[in-house]
Amino acid sequence: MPVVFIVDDDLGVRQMIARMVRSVQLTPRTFDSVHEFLDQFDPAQPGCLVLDVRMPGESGLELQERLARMGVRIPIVFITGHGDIPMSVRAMKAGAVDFIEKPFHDQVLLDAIHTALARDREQRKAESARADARARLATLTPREREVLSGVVAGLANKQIAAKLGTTEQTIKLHRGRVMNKMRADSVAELVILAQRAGVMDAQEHAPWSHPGHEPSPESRA
Amino acid sequence: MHKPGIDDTHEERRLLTSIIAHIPSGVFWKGRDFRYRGCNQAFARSAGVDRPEDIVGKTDYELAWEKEQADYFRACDRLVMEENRALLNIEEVERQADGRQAILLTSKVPLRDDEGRVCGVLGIDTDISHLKQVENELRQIRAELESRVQQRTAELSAANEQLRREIRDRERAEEALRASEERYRLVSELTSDYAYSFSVEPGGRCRAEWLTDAFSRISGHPPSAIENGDWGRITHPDDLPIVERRIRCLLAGQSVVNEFRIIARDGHIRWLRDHARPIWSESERRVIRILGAAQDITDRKQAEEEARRHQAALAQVARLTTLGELAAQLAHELNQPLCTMVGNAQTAQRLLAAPAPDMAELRDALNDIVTFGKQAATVIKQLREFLRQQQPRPIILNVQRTIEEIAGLLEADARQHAARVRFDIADDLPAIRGDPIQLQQVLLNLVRNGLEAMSLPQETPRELIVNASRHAPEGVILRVSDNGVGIDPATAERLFEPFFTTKPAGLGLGLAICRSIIEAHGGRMWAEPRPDRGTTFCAVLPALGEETSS
Repeated sequence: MPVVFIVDDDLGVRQMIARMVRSVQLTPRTFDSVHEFLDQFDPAQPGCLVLDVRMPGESGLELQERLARMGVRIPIVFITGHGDIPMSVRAMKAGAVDFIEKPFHDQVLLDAIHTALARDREQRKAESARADARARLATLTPREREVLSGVVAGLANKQIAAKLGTTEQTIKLHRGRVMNKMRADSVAELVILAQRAGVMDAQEHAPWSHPGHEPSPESRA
Repeated sequence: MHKPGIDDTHEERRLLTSIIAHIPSGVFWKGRDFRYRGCNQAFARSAGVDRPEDIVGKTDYELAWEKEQADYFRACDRLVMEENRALLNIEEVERQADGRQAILLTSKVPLRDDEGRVCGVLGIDTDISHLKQVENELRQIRAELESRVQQRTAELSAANEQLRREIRDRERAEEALRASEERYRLVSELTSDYAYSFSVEPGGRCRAEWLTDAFSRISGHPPSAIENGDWGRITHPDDLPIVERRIRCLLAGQSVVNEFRIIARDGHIRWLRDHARPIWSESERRVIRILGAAQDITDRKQAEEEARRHQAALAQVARLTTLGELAAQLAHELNQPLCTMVGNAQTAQRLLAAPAPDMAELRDALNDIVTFGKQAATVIKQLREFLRQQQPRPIILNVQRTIEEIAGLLEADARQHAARVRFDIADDLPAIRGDPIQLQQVLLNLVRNGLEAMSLPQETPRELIVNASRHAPEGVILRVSDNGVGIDPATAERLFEPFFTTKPAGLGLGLAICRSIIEAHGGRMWAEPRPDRGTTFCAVLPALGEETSS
C-alpha cells in the first residue's frame, strides 16, 4: 500500500490533509518538520510527499534538493500559503508534481496526490525492470556479453565473428545462449533488455563501435 | 709726564660727557623756564625722543608722559629752583614712553650760575623697578616664611602634645596606614590603568606625591598637568561639575567613584572611571592625602553609546516596517485556519457522500472547523488591539526633520534596488500637526512602491525624487516620483482601494493604509502619471491651524 507522507508545521493543516487523504481510502503519515520526516522515512516505501514550502528549520524546497542529492525520487506535491511565482517555478523545474496554493480545493490536492502516486508506481516499475534486466545480464559470460554488445550495435553474425576472430557458427551458438539467459523472445526484446541493464552506456568503448554510430539519447537515461 | 693744564680740562670734559652718556640712569637738565637744555640717551629714550638733541627747548608737556606726570615734574622743578634745595632719592612711578610702568629713583638738584643764582635744574633718575620687584618678593617670602614658621611651631607643639599622649597608638596606626597605602598602590597599579597619591595641604591645595606613568600614556599630558591637583585643566567642560564635586567630597573625607571625560592632549575625549579615597589624619583632624586609581573606560563607553544608537535605530525601523510585515503576517495567520476550515468542510462533504459515512471522522472534521474558526477570530481580535495601539499620536512637527530622519533608510532601500533617491525639501515649510512615525511609514511605503515600479530592467537610470514644498493654501505637499513603468489612468483611480494590487506578491494594502493615514491627518492623497515616464504620488498635509478635522 502506498503511503501519502504529509510534512507541514501547522497541526490543523496536517490533520486536515490526512483526513482528506483517508476519505479517499489512502494511507496518510504526518510529520511536523523536515527533520522528523528524514528520521523516519524509508525510501523503499512506495508513496508520495505532500510538502509545505515554508517551515521553520529546513524548508520544503531544501528537502526537495536534499532528496534529489540522495537519489530518492519520491514525487512531491508542494502546498504553500504564499503564492510566489519564482519559488513555484524552481520547485516545478526540480521535478515537483504540483505547486498548490492554500487554501485549495480538495479535488485539486487529491488529483495531484493521485498523479504523484501514479508517477511513483511507474518509477518503481521501471526501476524493478532495470534491476531484473541487470540481474539477467549478470548471468552472461564475458564472451556472451561481447556477442550481446555486437547484436545490440546492429551487427550481423558474420561481422561479429570477424571482429571477434571466430566463425559465424560459433557466434550463432553464443547468441542462442544469450537469448536464453536474457529470456528474450526476439532481438527487439533483447535490445530493450540490454538497454535497461545499461549495456548501451558502455557501447562507445566497445571494440566494434564504428564511426557514425551514436547511442540514442534515450538509452542513456 | 703728566702736566696739569688746558689738556686736562679737555680730558675732564670728555670723561664727564662720556659718563653722562653711558651711565645706566637718565640724566637731564632744564633752564629756569622749565625747558630742557639737554639730556643723555637713556633719558631721551624714556622721554620718547630719538636723540638727546631733540629734547632741547621742549617742556615736559611736549614729551611722552601724561599730563599729571608732567604736572608733578613741574612742581618738583619749581620746588628745587625756588627753594634752591636738592630733592634726593624720590621714588616715583612713571609711565615710560614705551608704555611700561616703571619705578624710578629720582634726584633733582638746582643748577647755579657763576654768581650762585639758580639758573636751572639737574636731574638723575634710575629705574629701580626690578630691584623693587625683588625686594617685594623678598618681603613676601620673608612674611610667608615667618607665617610658616609660626604655623609650624604651633603645629609642632600641638603635634608634640598629641604625640606624647598617643605615641604608641599613633605608631601602630601609621604603620597600618603605610601598609594600607602601599597595598592600595600595588592593587591600584595592578587593577587599574593608573594610580596616584596627592598630599593635601591644610588649605586644601593638592600636590602629587606620585602618579603612575599610564596617566601620560592615556591622556597624552605630562604628569605636571595635574601635579597641583588641578584636574579641571584637563577635564571636559561639561564634566567640570563632577570633578569639582569629587574634590569637595574627598576633602570632606568621603570616598568617591566617578566617571568623567578628559580631553587628551591630542584633542580626543577619553572616559575615565576614577576611584579615590581620602586619608584622614586624626592628629590634624583633616584629610592629608588622597589616593586614587583610574581606568580608561573609553572603549566601554563608546560601545555603550554605539549599542544605544543601534537599538534606537532598530526600534525605529521595526516600527516603520510593521505596515508591510503586519499585512503579510496577518495574511499568513488567517490563511492557515481558513485553509484548515475549507479543507475539513470539503472532506466532511465527501464523507457524507459515502453510503455509510464514517461518523467519527466526520465529527473530528467538524470539531476542527470550529476550533480553527475560533483561532481565526482570535487573530482578528489581536489585530484590532494592535491597531488600537497604533492610534496616531500627533505632535507639532517639522516636515523637513521628519524626512531627514528616515533619509538614510530610504537611501539604503534605494541602493538595494540599484536606484538612487534625490531629496528636494524646501526650507520654508510650515509646521504641521501629525504623527511623525506614521508620516514616515507613508513615505517609506511610497518609496518602496516607487522602487518596485522600477524593478524591471530599464534604460534610464532608476531615480526616485522625494520632494516636499509649500502648497497654497493648505500647507505642505509631499511628492514621491519614480521613473519606472508608470500606470494608466484607469489604474490610477483604483490604486488606493484596499486589496487592489498590480504586484504578483502584493496584498494591495500599502497604498490604502497610506491614504487612510494622510486622511486621518486632514490631508488628501492621489497619484498622477509623469509626462515622460513613471508616476508621482502626492500627499497634501494641512499646515498648523489649517486642519479642518481629523
